[in-house]
Formats: sequence, structure tokens, C-alpha cells
Amino acid sequence: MSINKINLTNELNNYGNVILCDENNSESFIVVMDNIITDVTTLKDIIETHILKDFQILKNIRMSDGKLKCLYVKN
Amino acid sequence: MPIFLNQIRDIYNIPTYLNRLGELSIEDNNVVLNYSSSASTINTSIGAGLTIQDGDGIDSDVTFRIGALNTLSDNELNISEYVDNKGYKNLGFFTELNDIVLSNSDTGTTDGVRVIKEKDIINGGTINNETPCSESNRNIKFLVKSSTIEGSKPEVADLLPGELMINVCDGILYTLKGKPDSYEVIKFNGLTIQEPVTPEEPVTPEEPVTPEEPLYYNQNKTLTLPEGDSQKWHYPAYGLYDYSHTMYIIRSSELGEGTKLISGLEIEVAGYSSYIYENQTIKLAHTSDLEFGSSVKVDLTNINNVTNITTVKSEFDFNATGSGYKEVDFDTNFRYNGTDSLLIIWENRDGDWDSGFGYAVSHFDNEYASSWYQYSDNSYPSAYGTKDQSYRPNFKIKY
Repeated sequence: MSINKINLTNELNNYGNVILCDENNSESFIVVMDNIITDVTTLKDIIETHILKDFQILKNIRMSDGKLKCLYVKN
Repeated sequence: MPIFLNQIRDIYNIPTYLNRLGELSIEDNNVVLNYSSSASTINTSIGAGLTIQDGDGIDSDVTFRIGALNTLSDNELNISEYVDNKGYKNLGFFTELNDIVLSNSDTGTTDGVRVIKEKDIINGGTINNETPCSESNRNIKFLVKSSTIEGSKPEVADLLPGELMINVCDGILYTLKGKPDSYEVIKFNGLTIQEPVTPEEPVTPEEPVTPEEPLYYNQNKTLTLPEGDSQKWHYPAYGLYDYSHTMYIIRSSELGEGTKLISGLEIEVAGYSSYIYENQTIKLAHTSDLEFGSSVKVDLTNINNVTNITTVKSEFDFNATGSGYKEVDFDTNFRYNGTDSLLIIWENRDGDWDSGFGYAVSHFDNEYASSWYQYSDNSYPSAYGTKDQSYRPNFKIKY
């Protein structure tokens, strides 16, 4: 596991409140935020900078009502 | 000088002068008395009968012929006047008729002459060989006044009170009605006896022909549908969201021929830690669609000919922990008709999300859009969702 979840969380917290930023299971990683003050692309770029090495595939991302949920899985 | 029969020893030795007197004669083996009212029949030496002539030389005599009646018992005759086989007392016999002829020529039957006395039942016979009410086959015929002239009817003077007259031609029966000095002739109808009208059977509407129920029974079999190893995270429920609604179409060609009583299913999952979805509901239905089309909604809009929607498992906790096929036994079996596609609806109404969720191990098929999904937070999804062109979870169908 090479993901620095603390750094990732800190970066994301600049644009909202990180609820969960962690592995969902051994095959997936999830990020959940609310009170988001930026767009989804900004957040997506930050996340992928940290996790693409381990979780290459974005399976789901949805932002609505100031809440973001995304799921990345391994290739 | 009168002569008494008990004085006669030999009827053929009657002095000829007596014969000439005309008081007593013998004709055809009959004892014939003229004028005499003193003849006695107590003795049996009266030959075959007794004739009483009034002497005017014309047909106004009374003749008694006595013969085979004596062979009948008192009980059969029911005539108390016949005693000790010695003949009749003939008490109380009066007549003003010109001729009375009593005859019983047939000794082989009990039909014939009998004396009618008070309280006797006059047996008029029966039809259809029925047993008469008198319980005897000895009967007489009694006819009322009659006419065979069409339209002929009696006058008041023709009838006595209580007397009947029938016009045979018209079939009308007449009698008197009223009181003395005010009688009138009334008639009873001459209608033909009609066959009783049988009430028409109420028309019972024909029972609708119910198509024969296909036979549904538990065959204790499990059908494994096409399997794959693809990961589909939103099937059967999406752990990342509060609610999800997923649907699957299994075509009849996949289910095989014949009806099936579907009692449960298994779905293959993987990647779950200890994870339980609460408040899950599974519904099954028939549809004529082979795959999901466009603009399908949660409320089944744009799925064609959906019938027999059945909630087979309601509000249950689905334990998805671990990997492998997860079994769901239905509370209500579903009768699959063997011809339509099977529609599986999985409602995830957990209302919360949590990490640790996994995915459905799924079959890839680029030909049919066999799956459909929608998910949301905060409230159960409605409106449109996404049809899945390629994937469907690995299912096993229990029937």
C-alpha cells in the first residue's frame, strides 16, 4: 500500500469535509466528502494523483447536493 | 187351493189340474209362480231359478237365477243374508223395475253379481292395473248421465242435486249449483288434460373454460445461469449508497422448457467484509421483454407486459459477508410460466451506506441488456436508471 491517505485527506479537506478516504476492501478505494466547495474535476485530479498507482479504474463518481462519492478499483 | 213348495216331493208329480190353474208351473227347469207372493226359497229344490210372473203376458216379470254363487264363501260374498249354504233370505228386496236379471255366468272369476248393501264400497275399478282402494278386484261401473251430442247440456230438470251429467263429445261435466227452487246448471271445464308444463331449466351460463393449470411443483433442482467473473459493484445492492434498485431479465431460453415453481435464488458476490444489507426486498414477475429497453423507470415503466408481480422475499437482511453464492430462500414461491422472461427486482432500502462492501461476480454478454440499476442517497431512487448492456450477476435459480 503506497497510498498516503493522510496527505490525500488533507488535500481534499481544502475543498470540503472528508468523511471517508480509505480502502473499501482489498480491491477498491472510496472517497466520500460533503460540504464541497469545488467542482468534481478538481477533486478527481487530487484523488487520482494519490491512488492511481494502486487503484487504476474509476468505477463510480457522483457529486450531488455538495456530497461526493467515488469508487476506484484495481485493474 | 194354495200349494206350498215344501209339500212337493216330486216336482214332476204335480197334479195337472194345479198346472192348469196357472199358479205354479215349470219351464226350462225353472219354478214359475203366477200371482203368488208366498213362494219360499229356503229349500234348495227350486231348480236353476225362480221366475215370478205378473200374469199380464208381457215382459214384466222378475227372474232370479241362482247358480254358481253358492260356490263362493261368505267372506268372498260379504253378504250376511247368505247363510248355511241354504240360499238367500232375500230380505228387503223391493223393486219397481220391470226386469231385474242377476247373472253370474262365469264361475272362474270373482267378477259378477253381488248384492250391494249399506256401507259397501262401490269399486269402480282402476286404471293402469292399480290396486283399488277397496282392496278388491270385484268392481262395478257406474256412469253418470251422459250425452254424445256436441253442445248438448242438461236443464235443471234433468238433474237431481248432486247428480252429474257429462257431455262426452264436449268433455264437459255438469251438475246443479244452488238451493232448492234456485238451482242452476254449472259446468266444469272441458279443457284437454295437458301435459304439465315442465318449467324450463334455467339456463346456467357455461362455466368459463379455465385453461388447464400448468403443473407447478418443487422439483428440488437448481439451475445455474451463465457465469462470469466480472466485478459489478452495484449489484445486487450498492453498498456505497443508501438505496439502490436493480433489476435483471432472465430469458426463457436460459430457464429451459416447462413451468417452474421458483423457490429461491443464489447470487454470487465477492469482496465483502462482514457486511449485511438490511431491509431488502426481492420481487419476481413475467415480462415479454428479452432485455431492458430505453427509458425504463423504477416503477417498471417501459418494461413490456409485466405480469404476476410477486414479492417473494420482503424486508429481509441480506448477509453478503465474504465471497461465493449467497442463498435467498423465498417466503412466497413464484410460478414461472415457462414462456415469458423472468424479471427479478432487487430493492435495497437499507437507508445507509458503509465501507466494506463488495460486488456481484457477473457474467458478460454483449448481446442483451440483461441488467438495470439505479441508486441514490437520502431517498429511494425513482425515475430513470441505467440499463447494463453487458453484465448480469451470476445467478442460480432454485425450483
